[in-house]
Amino acid sequence: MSVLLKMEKINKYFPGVHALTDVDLEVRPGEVHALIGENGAGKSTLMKCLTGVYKADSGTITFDGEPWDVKNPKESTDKGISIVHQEFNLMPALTVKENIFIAREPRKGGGWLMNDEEMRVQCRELMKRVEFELDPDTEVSYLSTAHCQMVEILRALLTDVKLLVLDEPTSSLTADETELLFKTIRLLRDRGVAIIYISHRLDEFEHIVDRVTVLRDGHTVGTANYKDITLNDMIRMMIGREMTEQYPSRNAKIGDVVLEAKNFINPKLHDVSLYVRSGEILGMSGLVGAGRTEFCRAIYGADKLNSGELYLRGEKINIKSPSDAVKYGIAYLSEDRKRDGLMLNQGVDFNTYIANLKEYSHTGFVDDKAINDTVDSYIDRLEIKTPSHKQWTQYLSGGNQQKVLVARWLCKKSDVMIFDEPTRGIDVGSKYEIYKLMNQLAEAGHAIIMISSEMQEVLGMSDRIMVMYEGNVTGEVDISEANQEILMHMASNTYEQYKASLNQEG
Amino acid sequence: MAEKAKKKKVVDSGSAKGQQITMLFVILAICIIWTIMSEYFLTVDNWVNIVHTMCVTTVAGYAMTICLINGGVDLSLGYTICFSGITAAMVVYDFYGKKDSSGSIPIGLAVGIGTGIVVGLVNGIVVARLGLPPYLSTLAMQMVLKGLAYLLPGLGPVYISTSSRYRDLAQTRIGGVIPVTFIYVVAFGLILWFFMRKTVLGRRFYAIGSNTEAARLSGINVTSTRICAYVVTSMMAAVAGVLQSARVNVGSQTNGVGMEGDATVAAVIGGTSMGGGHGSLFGCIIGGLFMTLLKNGMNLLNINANWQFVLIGIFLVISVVVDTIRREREMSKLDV
Repeated sequence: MSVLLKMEKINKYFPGVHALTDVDLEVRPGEVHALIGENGAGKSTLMKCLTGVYKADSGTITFDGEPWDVKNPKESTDKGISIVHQEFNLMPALTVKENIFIAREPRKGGGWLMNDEEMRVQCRELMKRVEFELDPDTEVSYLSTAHCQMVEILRALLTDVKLLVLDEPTSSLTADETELLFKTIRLLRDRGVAIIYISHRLDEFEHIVDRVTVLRDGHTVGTANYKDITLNDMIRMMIGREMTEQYPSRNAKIGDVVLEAKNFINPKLHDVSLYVRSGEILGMSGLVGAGRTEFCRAIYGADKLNSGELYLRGEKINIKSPSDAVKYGIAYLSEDRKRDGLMLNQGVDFNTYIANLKEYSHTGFVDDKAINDTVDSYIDRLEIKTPSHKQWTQYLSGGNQQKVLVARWLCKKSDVMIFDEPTRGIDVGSKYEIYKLMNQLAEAGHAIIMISSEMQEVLGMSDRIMVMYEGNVTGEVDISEANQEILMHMASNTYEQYKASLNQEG
Repeated sequence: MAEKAKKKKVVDSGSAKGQQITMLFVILAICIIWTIMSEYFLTVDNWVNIVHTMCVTTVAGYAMTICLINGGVDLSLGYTICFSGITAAMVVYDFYGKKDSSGSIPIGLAVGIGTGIVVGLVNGIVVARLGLPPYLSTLAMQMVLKGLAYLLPGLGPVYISTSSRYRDLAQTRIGGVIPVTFIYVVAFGLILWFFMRKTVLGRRFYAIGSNTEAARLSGINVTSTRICAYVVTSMMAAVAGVLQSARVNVGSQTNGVGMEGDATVAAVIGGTSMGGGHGSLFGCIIGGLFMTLLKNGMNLLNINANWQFVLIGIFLVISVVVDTIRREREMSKLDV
């Protein structure tokens, strides 16, 4: 079988760190090749060595039968390797066609003017190749995440792409959107394009993946045909140990209702209510954009509310801003840790105590010694991996960043914790640790609300699950009665029909 | 993983130390060159003059540093210096009383600094509550103050009687040698350092400058904290304004003009980040000293002093570029 890309014995050193050790990777034309590994395993570094962002310190790369020697990403694009990053590189104020053709616009008028008509024509041709329609003149800021991603892929197709690297392409897509992406991937694969597919969502692999290469701590653990290995094999290869259970068990006593939100209404919420008890994890399921985040942000006072009542341990409270919510012991851990959670250019310590400065100060002056002791104790307790409490949080892994945020709210002694997508972008091993941490919190009597778009996670972690659809609550089930099918139907607002069809059959 | 994490270098602060040490060497080099070229450079009188001059720049630099740490910028800083100097001078001059008598100096000080507080309040409310971008709102304030600086005293500068003790504020020499302005630079530096590093309010300025949304979701009242930051900024600008008017003994419409530029340069050369969340007050002293020395030597050597602006402009770009490269190099070591 022919080989498109062959990377052999790639080594890459950074001062103090041997990031890649004799890594091998072989990709064939027309295959979807999954590249998996925990965060920090070397996937990104390997891709950067491939696309010319870094130069490998040793090793050989052969692409399309020729030795591969590119010095920068542009050169690699020209030669047929394109990469679509998890975070998009689009200009929101420009149109779809302008984004696709950026820096490669067809010209007219002696090269001084842009040829819009030609762009439109070429755009439509490109879209035909992936059997997908989008108005070339729409401004990108109006597009959904999935469509933005499609624009990125179209841009990659503009050059004669032979190898397409997709980095975490499904992490922020809904189920429907993911299916659309898979369809595109299959089309490209059938046309002989090789695809390197980097993802943490191993459960989706069955739809598209042909072969899998696993990296761990900068080494290649192995390559296998997807058909020949199981999910557990992959996880074992990634973490180097048997993963007996993906979701740790917990032994929490569910107590009284701590927080209750009644009849919340604002432009995104149509009369929704929820309650959560101490020691309980309430899972919020639904599609992306169903209003779960908006509901929680309204509870937290981060978004405006037209009407609605909030009760804390039976007493009515009035929350107008996040600072009110914090005072009442409610914490919100945002889905976008880097944008809304962490101060990235500050240390672990700063990020931990910042919500609770008052407690560590006397008459307005900060008590740094008390702070340092507390922060160090949280680093130990939550097993935050950091060389020092002074380390900037931008240099921590996703899992450790999430732990810092948990530390922040533990430090503030919050009773109610709202986790919005707590394990997004976090690797398998660290996910387990976050789950353990959430269990410990529940066992200690905290009331936890967990928003998650991962069905498995909701089913694995919740005591009770509520499902939202377009700003409405479409169902609530106890974990003992919940299964994927029920949740899917609730999430797409087809639960009533589903029940009816079950009754008919029965 | 744990072992790997331990090997990683700790990057704890937006450490300006590297840049500051480089700048100290540059300053030393400038001193050596000027000493060789002019015998007057190393005299007490000249250094008193240098300290007097750098005092205003440095205090204005403190003001701008606080604003930058908080993630803002204050384009009205120069005219805040100008206008608060004029209001203070008008009281000391006893504008509305008999012209041959002097007004109260303490009241003058209070009015000058009070002017700054009002300016800061307005800036803060427009930025934090009305949500205008700092560039725009402080530019508007600059325009307003420029107009008021001419309108309020009638026309022209407010000259203060030579019999007034007002100028002693900025011109005294302690023990006949140490200029009082030196004390101001050190004292305000220490007070502000303490305020920024040790108080809850100061610490929150850093939080907002680092990530406003994260600060808001952490329960910090961003609006009121940001207003406080602008008040502190403009108050320090007013202090600089009063000192400037005392130094030249006149509340002039040209005092402090363009000072927002000097203040920004002093802050940035001293290692303050334009991105917010990090800054060095000590760096302002270095930045202020650098600019003053450059100008002083040129005056002594009869070089057209306007060359200083050309040099400072070029130097600012070089110093930021060098610092950026240094940081990038540090980052790339960490990137795994």
